Amino acid sequence: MAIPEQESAANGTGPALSHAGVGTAAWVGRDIPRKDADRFVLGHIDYTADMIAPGTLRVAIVRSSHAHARIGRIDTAAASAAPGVVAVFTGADVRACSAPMPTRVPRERFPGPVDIWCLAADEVLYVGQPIAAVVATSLNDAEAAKSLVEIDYDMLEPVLDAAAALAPGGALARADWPTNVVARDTIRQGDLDRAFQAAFRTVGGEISFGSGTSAPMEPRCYIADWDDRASHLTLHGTLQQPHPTRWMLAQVLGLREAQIRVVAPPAGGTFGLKMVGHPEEALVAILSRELKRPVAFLESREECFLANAREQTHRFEIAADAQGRIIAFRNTIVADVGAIGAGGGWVMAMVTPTVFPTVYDVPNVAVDAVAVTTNKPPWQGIRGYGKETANLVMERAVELIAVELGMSSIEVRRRNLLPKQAFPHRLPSGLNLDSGDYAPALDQLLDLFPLDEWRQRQQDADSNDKRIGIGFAFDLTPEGASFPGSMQAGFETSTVTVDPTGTVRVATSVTSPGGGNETGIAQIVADVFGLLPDDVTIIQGDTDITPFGTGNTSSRSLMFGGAAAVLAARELKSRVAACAATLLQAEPGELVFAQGRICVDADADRSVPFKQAVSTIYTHAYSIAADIELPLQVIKTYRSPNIRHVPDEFGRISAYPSFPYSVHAAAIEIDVATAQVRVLDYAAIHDCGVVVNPGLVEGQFRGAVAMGIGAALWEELLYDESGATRTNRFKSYVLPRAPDLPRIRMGHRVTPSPFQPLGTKGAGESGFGGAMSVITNAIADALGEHGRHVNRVPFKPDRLLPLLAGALS
Amino acid sequence: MSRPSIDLALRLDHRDVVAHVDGRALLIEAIRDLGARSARIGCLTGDCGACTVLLDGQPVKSCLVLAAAADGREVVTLEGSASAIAETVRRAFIAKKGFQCGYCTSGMILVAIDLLEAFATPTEADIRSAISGNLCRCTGYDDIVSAIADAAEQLSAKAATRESPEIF
Repeated sequence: MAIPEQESAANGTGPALSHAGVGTAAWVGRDIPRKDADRFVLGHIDYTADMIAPGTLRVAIVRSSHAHARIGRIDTAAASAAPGVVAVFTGADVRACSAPMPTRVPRERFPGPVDIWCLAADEVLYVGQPIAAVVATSLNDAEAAKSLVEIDYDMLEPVLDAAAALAPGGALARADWPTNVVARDTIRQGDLDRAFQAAFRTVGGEISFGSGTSAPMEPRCYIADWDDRASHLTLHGTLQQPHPTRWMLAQVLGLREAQIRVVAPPAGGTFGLKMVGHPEEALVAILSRELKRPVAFLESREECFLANAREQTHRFEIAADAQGRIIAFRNTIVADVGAIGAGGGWVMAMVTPTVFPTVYDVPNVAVDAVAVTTNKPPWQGIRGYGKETANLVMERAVELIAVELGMSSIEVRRRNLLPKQAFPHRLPSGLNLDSGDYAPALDQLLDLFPLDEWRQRQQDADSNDKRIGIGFAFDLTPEGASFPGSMQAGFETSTVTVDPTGTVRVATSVTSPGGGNETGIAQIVADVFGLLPDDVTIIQGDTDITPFGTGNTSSRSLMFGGAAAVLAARELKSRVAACAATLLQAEPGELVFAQGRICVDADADRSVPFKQAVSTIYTHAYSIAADIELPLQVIKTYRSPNIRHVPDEFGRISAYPSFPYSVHAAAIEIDVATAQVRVLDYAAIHDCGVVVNPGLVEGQFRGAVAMGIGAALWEELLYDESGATRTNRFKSYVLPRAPDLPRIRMGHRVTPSPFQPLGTKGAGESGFGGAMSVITNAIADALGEHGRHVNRVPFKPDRLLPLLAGALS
Repeated sequence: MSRPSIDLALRLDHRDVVAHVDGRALLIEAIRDLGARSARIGCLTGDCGACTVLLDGQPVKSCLVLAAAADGREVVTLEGSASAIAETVRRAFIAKKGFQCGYCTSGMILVAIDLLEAFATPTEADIRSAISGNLCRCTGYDDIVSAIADAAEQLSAKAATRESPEIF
């Protein structure tokens, strides 16, 4: 099969991979189909739930019906005697045979003790917290016996919102903590008071965000199989982070890592949900070891809606000079992060403040953030990871100051965007923006989005019946999170092997939740060796055969796992080149690897098949290949040079190495009578540096946009007065469906990252915050003068109707 | 101990199968236990469409059907779906990247096949309407819509080729 010439994948400033130096870029930049695509369309992919073997015990979990209480007596006798039931476990049982779950950030960072057990041992902290596990031979029997478990509760006062959590002398969400404040951050740059005094115009506002959840189509599932004779545990699960999960299990079970194998089969989406730290990960492992039988937990959709996130309030103020330059921005953030569990979801609240003032060059910045714990379910990771709310608040602030200045908000953006030559650029939080080219991206967007046409349609619409709104928004998405001291340590590792027949194997610590990074990694490794992506097999999600790393979070897979694979592949390539040089009587530096052959650069007739050079190494280890290091296997870890964990002169670290951005435009229509919002048109320009596979990047970006539109308009977790999740099915937590969305038009811009060997930045998460922001700005625009009162996301009809009434009066 | 159980006989992906199942079982649970794993469980409330199968030729959400109600009937899942249209739709889903995680794909493809069997030239709105009962969280639907539109075009082109001798 001939390898076609590289196609231009993207508009923008540079040829794909211009400086990458990995050889001929035959595959990077090409929109090739997914690896294993046939298996997907034939229905032959097995997800975790497909691997529950006959005879596996099933768990149903009895969950707290109260937001805050001490657990009294638990009577499991009736449940234990129910049909099919094998055992009923409580927190006391778990405590007798295991250790607490380690938290993803060190426990000493919390203001009080954090002994987290997979079944609540004493105090329950939210409605839905696991209290008892009913294990039965079938899921139906386990579920049926749940209601027979009797639990006595001693009620404690629940803390159900941030205001109550911060009220002096108010109730405590955890009885043994002295405060509800989990963490604070204070970010300062410049002289705020002076800037606000000197300002030509200032304006402030408040924006609050409802709770959201990731809701992947595949619910969570864990299958534990303890081999008692070998003292060995195998856990299959819906896991983004198999190595951190093994780390967690080793501590809970008191085992060595070598006694545990964690396998992450293909996942049906995660969007942050399936990071390490869910109680059921530990629970099934404990149950299997105690019962000496395989045990599976399969999450119900209702349970999946216990994953909470994002509820927060921002109070901000922005100042500009007479030329429209933003000279100051300040913001106070209060986030209600729910109960603290073993996972790191609450960390999202501490990412938000670090993103300001996003893509704008603002000399004076102050951000104060506080995260409080309450008796709502714990935050779980969700796409955006806190960056989305920062972008939305910044984009609202820009709109508001534009109104005060009497300028178009597009012009205000132009006057304040960081110019290309300003990079690398230090944000007030210490984050070091790697590169960007923002203003030309805005120009590119205006070519894609017919602004004048939409303004005309807006004028022509009868504003008492339908209102059209037009919005713009930038989105800056820090990617590749690397938090010091945590199990998000920020490096990834790949082992590359060239096998005797000349095929290549990459075992990497990054997992694939469905975005297709395995295909992208195969493309970049194929280019190193001049092979086809089909010649490269990617192995992921098995702690026995993949090296240690964080897994799949923060769009790190190609950026870190791919980079590690390229570093390893380059070293192997030099070994194969040494052998080929002997066979061809040439110097290694003269050799080019392309189309499955190794040829002398100046003399294409002198060549040897790649397979033959490899075979020679394997079969002539004492002669021709005597000087070539064996095995043909190299393991490399990639650490980004743009991560800095040593505090700078302001005491700040930089925990994200890569800063993809996008700029969005949307036109929406609000039905005045019903407050239903329809998205009429949507366009965006996205820049994630060098694009390895445009189809994969575009697909994920469109998915992020769809999710952002949902988060702006329809998706909200609601809690009743007792703290119970009211929105527990897709009928009440409303995801976008196909007819709800317009076609999302997008273009690329390519500003390679100077810090990453391939020039790539994170892709996959990026775009979500921009979509939330652009819809918010479009709704405010539709409300005209009254748009300044927009102060709550999402815009469900009950919140939009009063705003519409205000706009009409 | 009295758990209601029933004997179930049905034709599943062109094979006659019999099973002894819990009387409370849903069709999706029964067929997955019988090995038809390409039908996925996403919600069990009829909202997501991941469990879509053809029951006597009609697409149904198999979480909304009791297993007992399928006795004596024919069930086809994605794995059993084989026709020229099915093959064209599958190829189009690969070419247009009509899936990411793949969890909704079984339902999406079966619904697309059903649409194109009934209606050779759907508009984009028709396609979006046809898949409105199936949730996808990865793609934002554009690539799925493109895949189905692409399959429709290919099928129309093939049909035109076949018909052309009569036209001219």
